[in-house]
Amino acid sequence: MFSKRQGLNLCKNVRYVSNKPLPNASLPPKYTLATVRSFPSLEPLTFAPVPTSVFDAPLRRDLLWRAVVYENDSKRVGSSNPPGRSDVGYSRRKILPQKGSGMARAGDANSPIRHNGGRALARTAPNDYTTALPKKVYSLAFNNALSHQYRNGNVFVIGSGDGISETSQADLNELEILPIGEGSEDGDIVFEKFLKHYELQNKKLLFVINEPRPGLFSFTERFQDKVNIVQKEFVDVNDLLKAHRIFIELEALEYLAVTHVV
Amino acid sequence: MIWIFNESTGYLLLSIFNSPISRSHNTSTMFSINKVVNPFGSLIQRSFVRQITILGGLKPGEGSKKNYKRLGRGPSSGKGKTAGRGQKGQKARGYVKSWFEGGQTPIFKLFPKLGFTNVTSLKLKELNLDRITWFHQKGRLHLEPGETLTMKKMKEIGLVTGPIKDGIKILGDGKFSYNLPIKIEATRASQDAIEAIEHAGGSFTARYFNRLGLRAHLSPHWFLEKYGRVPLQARPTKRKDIEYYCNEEKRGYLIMENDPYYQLLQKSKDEGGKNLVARKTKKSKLELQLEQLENDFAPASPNSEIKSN
Repeated sequence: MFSKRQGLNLCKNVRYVSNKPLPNASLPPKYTLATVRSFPSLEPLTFAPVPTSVFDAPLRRDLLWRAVVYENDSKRVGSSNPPGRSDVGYSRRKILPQKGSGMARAGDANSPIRHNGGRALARTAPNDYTTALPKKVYSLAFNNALSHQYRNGNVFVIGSGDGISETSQADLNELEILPIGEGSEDGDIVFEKFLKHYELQNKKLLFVINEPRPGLFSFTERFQDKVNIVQKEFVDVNDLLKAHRIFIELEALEYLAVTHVV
Repeated sequence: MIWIFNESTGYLLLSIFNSPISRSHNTSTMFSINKVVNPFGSLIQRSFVRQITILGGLKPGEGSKKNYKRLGRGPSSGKGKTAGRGQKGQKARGYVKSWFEGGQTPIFKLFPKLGFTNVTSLKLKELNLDRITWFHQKGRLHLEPGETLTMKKMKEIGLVTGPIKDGIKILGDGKFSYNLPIKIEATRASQDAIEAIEHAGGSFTARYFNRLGLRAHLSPHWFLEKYGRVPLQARPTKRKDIEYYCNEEKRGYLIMENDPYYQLLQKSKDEGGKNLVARKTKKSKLELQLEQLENDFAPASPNSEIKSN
């Protein structure tokens, strides 16, 4: 009756109703496997399961916007200290008589309407610009920022492997830099080599550390403007989003995943 | 230099990572971080290596922000001359109360009041079973083995947020998927919720708290800091409360735990009010005198040691 093409055209808009509801439906995965690497060679050692809410949350620009605005608001110092009409220091004398001058009524020279007068609605520093954000929203945004960076391949988890995969001699299982020879101070050469090899010289790097790492601090001093070292408790969404690459210790990641559970 | 990768280490995982594709791209012995290998061995080439930070592209949710109306800032704003208040009249100058109907008999004068406020009803926070399940799934239901989920605990872990005025009632939303064998204590629970909790192998007890007692239960530290002690829990005194917490169907704590207060109540009920204290009425002096005389001249019972004068 119909040619094959006609038949296909007819059936194009027909929806077949299966007797099963959504036959291919399955639960979305709960975990992603993040590669755990050693530092500074970034040699992969093992995998760590990370909840998808932490490493694979779909991007929500509105949440990130709220968190970033909230953080930047709370960072404002609020040092503006404009003089009000009581601070300007002119006399309280009435400049013109109330009537008969032909000019508009005027009070004293401090009035905000006058040139060199005081500032209307003056403030005194420090001014508080902090805004409020529900903790849950902040936590969601935090995980969102981390997920965004992870999806783009910018997150490197540093930690120790299991018994099967050993760490090579020159490597560490934490974000720490040791000088080549004992007692020497050439750790910055190691770090420079690391940057050069991975072409990270002009990239902003974020190191999220679990505890103070004196070697990392001292040997990255030359690259201060590109390297941001933050302890796990003090990482914020701005730090995460500003970085081109994030190096995070596994323990720090575990801590963050637990603190930002919603 | 120090970067030589030891092939003998990590040999199991290495077989995954040294897939032919990744090896052909890797000229050096180090790993390329611009190429990501997924656990199944295939290479995920990053779609773009240069990536601009997302910070500049963030924007608030659509419709979540509104600019405020700037009134009286010149004609081009559209809210200049009369600032949106129209011409002349009370509304242009000040404001008119929202319930003013222009002089017509207002609605609150036309009709009598309807309904009433039940002042004895409790303002209970509602907690549904699906929320408890959800908390459990999220790992936020921090309960020790055998620990009871009390109202204090519910508040602590954030199961119930906001001020709790009179208590919490457990409701049965999500009763079909509820499967936590835990003990729960709250002010009340619906019949469905009780059934679901017990079906899952847990138990429910409805416990009485008056307002002070509830505050002491929820935040004993506040009392300790202020007074150095925590007030005792009061027993129910209203007939309605006593009946509720003596009801087995409601899982009232008095009957479920065979409380001493329940025993006392049962005892006095069985004795038919014999032991109830007679209502005190003020007696006149004459009545008191007559009573005295009656006592003085009453014939002593044979066993009594007290002898009449």
